Amino acid sequence: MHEKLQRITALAKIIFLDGLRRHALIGLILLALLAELFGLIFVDFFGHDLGRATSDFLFSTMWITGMIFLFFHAVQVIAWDEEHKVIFGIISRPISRNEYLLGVALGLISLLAVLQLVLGGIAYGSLIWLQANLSISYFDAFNSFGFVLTWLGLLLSQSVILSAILLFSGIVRGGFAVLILSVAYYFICSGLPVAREHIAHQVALGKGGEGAASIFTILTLLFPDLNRMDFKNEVLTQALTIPLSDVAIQSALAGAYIILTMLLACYAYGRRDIQ
Amino acid sequence: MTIRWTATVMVAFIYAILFVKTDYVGTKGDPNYLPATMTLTVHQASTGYLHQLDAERLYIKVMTFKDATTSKATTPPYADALSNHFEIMQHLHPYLFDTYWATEAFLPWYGDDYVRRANTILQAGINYQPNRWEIPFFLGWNHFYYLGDSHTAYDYLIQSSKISGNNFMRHLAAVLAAKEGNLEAGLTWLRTMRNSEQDEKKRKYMSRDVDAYEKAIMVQKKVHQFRNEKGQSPKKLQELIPEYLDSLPEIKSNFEIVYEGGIVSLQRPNYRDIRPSSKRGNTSQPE
Repeated sequence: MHEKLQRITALAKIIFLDGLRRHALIGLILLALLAELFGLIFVDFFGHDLGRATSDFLFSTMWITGMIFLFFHAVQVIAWDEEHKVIFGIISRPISRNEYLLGVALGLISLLAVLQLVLGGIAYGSLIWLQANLSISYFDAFNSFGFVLTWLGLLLSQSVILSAILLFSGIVRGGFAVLILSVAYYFICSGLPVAREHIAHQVALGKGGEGAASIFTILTLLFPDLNRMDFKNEVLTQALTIPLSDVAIQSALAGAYIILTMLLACYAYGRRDIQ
Repeated sequence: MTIRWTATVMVAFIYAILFVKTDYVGTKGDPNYLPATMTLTVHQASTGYLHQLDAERLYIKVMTFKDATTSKATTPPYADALSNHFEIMQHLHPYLFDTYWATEAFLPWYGDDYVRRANTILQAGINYQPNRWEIPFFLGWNHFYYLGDSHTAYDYLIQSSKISGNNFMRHLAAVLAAKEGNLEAGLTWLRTMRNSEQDEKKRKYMSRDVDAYEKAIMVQKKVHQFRNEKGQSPKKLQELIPEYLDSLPEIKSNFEIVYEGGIVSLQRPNYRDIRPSSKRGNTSQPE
């Protein structure tokens, strides 16, 4: 078990360092930092709720940067290894396909976490600076714990998407196919809660739709509601407005989903022809 | 080679000619046309985690549009689209206070229907912004000023004063509750609104109303003086001239002084028309 973990972490380290060496990723980080600085200009469009507008903008920048990382780098990693025959070099070593997939997952999650840590640190500093320089009527409260919670929620949401990307990478061949499937998956995750809410409203009005409501609930098992981990409104509150038990349940749910998806990905990848 | 270059230049020339023929060049578009936004469902489904940013984008769009509009109509052609934008913004990001502020700044001027649409947005906002005294204050103002419903206005003012802990508002609510105190209440209210308004044009517009209220209160005091000295109220305001007033004050706003049963009030020429259940007439919006 210890040796397995060593092999996984060694591969994760390679994936991590390889990601850091990519100029596109360095460019992405620089662009995101510039975008965060642009947040100070963005805030100029607002007249009152300056703290909230800035916080939303910063977290949106982090989200968009994370999604660019997932859709333009993460979807390519396994496909790139396969297309450049690197995969044969790797699995000719005493490492199983499962360990390979888990190593890639760990490496990519580490990259994503570091990326978000840098952007989150800048965002935190920006908000602290802004609060110190604005009157209380423009920026009345900043909750550091709420900020950390929001950051963790963002990272967890994107880890869910990453696990789905690795599942698709394990099932199909080629970066483009994985990209198409991943984008479709993301849009279903975004759209499903809206459809579910609409049907729930119909059911509440007695207009039927109970069957569709059940189908949508089952679909939510496969396509989780990522908005449940959006805690942006907690950044600017005196005290948290959502119970911590809810946060714990949502986080545990997301964690279990990631583990299940990775197990499925390992199962699929272990049986796939990689020629 | 020459033929290839000539063909390329010709195609580029045709492209340039066609581009000039389009409406990209030379036309500024209609500054009073605000395209309708997508439905709330589409906004929610397409933006996901970014729905707050989407609401803020709509806010910037609306503010930029309003800066460029030229229509001075009571109900401008973009009123519906603008209301729709605010409604979607409120649903997408109910915690953003600027939405409520902008809603109050623009919608109520457009007529009764829009006062009610603004009130719906503001009422929804109270649930998300329970610590903001401004939202019940706006609702109170709308009920008092636009809908002539002092009773509901009083309730909202009390709610607002409880949040802010402001005795001034409690006093204002008390004055409002008194049947004959509406002029004083209106004046205090208008001054508050004017002092918190950042738009210079609107401040100017409100200043004219403040002036009208001050003059009406002055006439009311003369009526009280007449009654105290002669034992009865004048039948017409002209009876105050010349002993109490040299002439009736000239009101340079959308109000006119109305005198009934010993009570002086200020009403818009179509004031009765702006009560709930009927359409407002040609009251004008701020310039």
